[in-house]
Amino acid sequence: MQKSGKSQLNISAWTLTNALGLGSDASLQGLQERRSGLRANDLPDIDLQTAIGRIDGIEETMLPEAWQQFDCRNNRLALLGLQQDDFMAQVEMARAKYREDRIGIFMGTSTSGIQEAERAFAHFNQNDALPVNYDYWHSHNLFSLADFVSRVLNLSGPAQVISTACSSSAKVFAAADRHIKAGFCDAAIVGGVDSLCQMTLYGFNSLQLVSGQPCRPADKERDGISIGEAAGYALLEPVETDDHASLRLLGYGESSDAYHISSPHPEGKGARLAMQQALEMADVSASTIDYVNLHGTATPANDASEDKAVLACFGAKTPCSSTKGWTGHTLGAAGITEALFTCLCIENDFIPGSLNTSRVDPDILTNIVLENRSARISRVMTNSFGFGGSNCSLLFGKES
Amino acid sequence: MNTVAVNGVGLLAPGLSSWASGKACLNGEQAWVAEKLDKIPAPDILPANERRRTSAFIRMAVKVAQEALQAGNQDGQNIPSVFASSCGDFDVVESICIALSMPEKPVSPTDFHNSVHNAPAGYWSIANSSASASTSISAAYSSFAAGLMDAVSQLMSGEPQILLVASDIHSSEIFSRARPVKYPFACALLLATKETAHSICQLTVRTDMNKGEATKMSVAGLEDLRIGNPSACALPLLMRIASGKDSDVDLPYQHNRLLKLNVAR
Repeated sequence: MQKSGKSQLNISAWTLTNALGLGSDASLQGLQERRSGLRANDLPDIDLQTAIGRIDGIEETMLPEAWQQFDCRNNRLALLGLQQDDFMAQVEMARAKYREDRIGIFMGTSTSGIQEAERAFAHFNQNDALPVNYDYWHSHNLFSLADFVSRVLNLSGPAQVISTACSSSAKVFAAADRHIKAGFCDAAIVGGVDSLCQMTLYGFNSLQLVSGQPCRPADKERDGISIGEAAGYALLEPVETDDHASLRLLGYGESSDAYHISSPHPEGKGARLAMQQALEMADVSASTIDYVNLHGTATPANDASEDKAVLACFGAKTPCSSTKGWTGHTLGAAGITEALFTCLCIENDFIPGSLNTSRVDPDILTNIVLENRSARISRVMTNSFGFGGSNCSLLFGKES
Repeated sequence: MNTVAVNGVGLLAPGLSSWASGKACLNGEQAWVAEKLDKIPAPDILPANERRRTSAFIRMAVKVAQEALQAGNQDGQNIPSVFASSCGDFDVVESICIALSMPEKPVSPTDFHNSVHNAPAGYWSIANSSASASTSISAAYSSFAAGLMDAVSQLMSGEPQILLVASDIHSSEIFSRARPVKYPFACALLLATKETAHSICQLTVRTDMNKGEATKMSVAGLEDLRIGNPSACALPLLMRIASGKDSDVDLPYQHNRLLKLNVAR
């Protein structure tokens, strides 16, 4: 429970990369043209019939000479993401303003560079030894991501990786806000990077949660997730008195389901609490929220649970949709990806209608928007819920 | 400067089977003997079906969390938590990686469900029927320091109490060939904005983080433990808490910087 009043952070720069393409324009165009980034699985080491949100260009991305030891798919994606939207130049300006050791780095990931461990174990199977170039700390370890990003951005402020499954890169906003309030840093880079790997595809498949076709959030026939990969970053700075009508983090809420490690609470108890806390922190009522970007993974249980939570919190009128049909579920990068999607909605005045959803499940009672619509959007809620019953809701808006 | 009260401590490591028994080794009243950890029984605070699924890593974290909470005479239901671990559950990740190296890739659903870094936090919330916020973080050898900063930042943002758990387990068979975490280690601190009858000391966390050398353990075996497990970087702080004397402690942070702490009665 947050008791210290509103968050006062501007989102002064941001960038996102996912199956829709590199940089925020690609995401905006994909959302507006209703073009899905999902494709039939074409990963060479994964023999599953499913759709994936794969990003072109990761394999060709080379890490700088000085940071070769960090080489893995996840850090290549981290770098590819950083290189878009002039983000690094804007961080450079912030670095001059705040000092390199006063900018914190809060990154979310669920699996970091685990693909290197997968390869190392395959090698072990054949050779009874790990490959000599397997570097646990710089690739597979979760912190590798924040370590790599801090080196590329030349920052030495407080750094942590949050790994709470699919809420990871939503919770980074809350952590950054609190670290700034406590005086540990003056500004923050928040972000999330998760990349396709065998562990998540075969793991979710073992739980029978992967759809054989592109995911269909809230659809009557929905039958599981499509997994995607993504990178996203935002620069958060305290609001200054002469800032007006800037894009802001208005509130956040975090909770636990205390129900089951890999299934959501059937009534969405924790999810509801997270949304209510975000509203309370921002000191706004649910009726003033113009759009709810759902976690909307497209598993039968998740969408049903979230629907009950959103209905309890917002009623049946507030427009809602999931954007997983565009990108797939990007797991530890879902929070930042969808947070920045909502920023695109605010900046461009539209609500994305749930892609791939043809018939809304009659048991789903919230207002699921199916087609894109133009609308003035000033406040948006975005939900991220993960295994372990970890829930996070973020509230963004344009406030003066 | 951020000052908080330490109202409970939990500990589990070789030769340190609990805070209650281990603090005498840390403050020098008793010699520390490098005994192997006994097998940790599944926590009885979990429902039977959840208890069955717990791994050694999860049991370690839950055990120290429980000890700290009991020492502070608190119920876990309304206390948010920070779980810090550099490396997570080596045994579970190894089991999944072995499965993925086989032709049929027979990943166990239970292993996958336990593989998330926040699995200990998830089990802890179930054990305490707690809807409170919980985060799970990783920051290599500064995981404990980063967890402490996170916990303190939550207290400064209005939470009255928070539970910090830091744990890393010794690496499993194949992972140990890459970079061993030599020993298992877990500790927990129940922190609060206000002192209670159970308060052990006050802890001040400074926001200036100069470069320098971290505080070491004077007993060679304990120093070996400290450098042999990322979470064991907490040991010099625990030693100061056990000693009952006012003193400064510097924990290792990234980029050769230090998290500078002061322990006071």
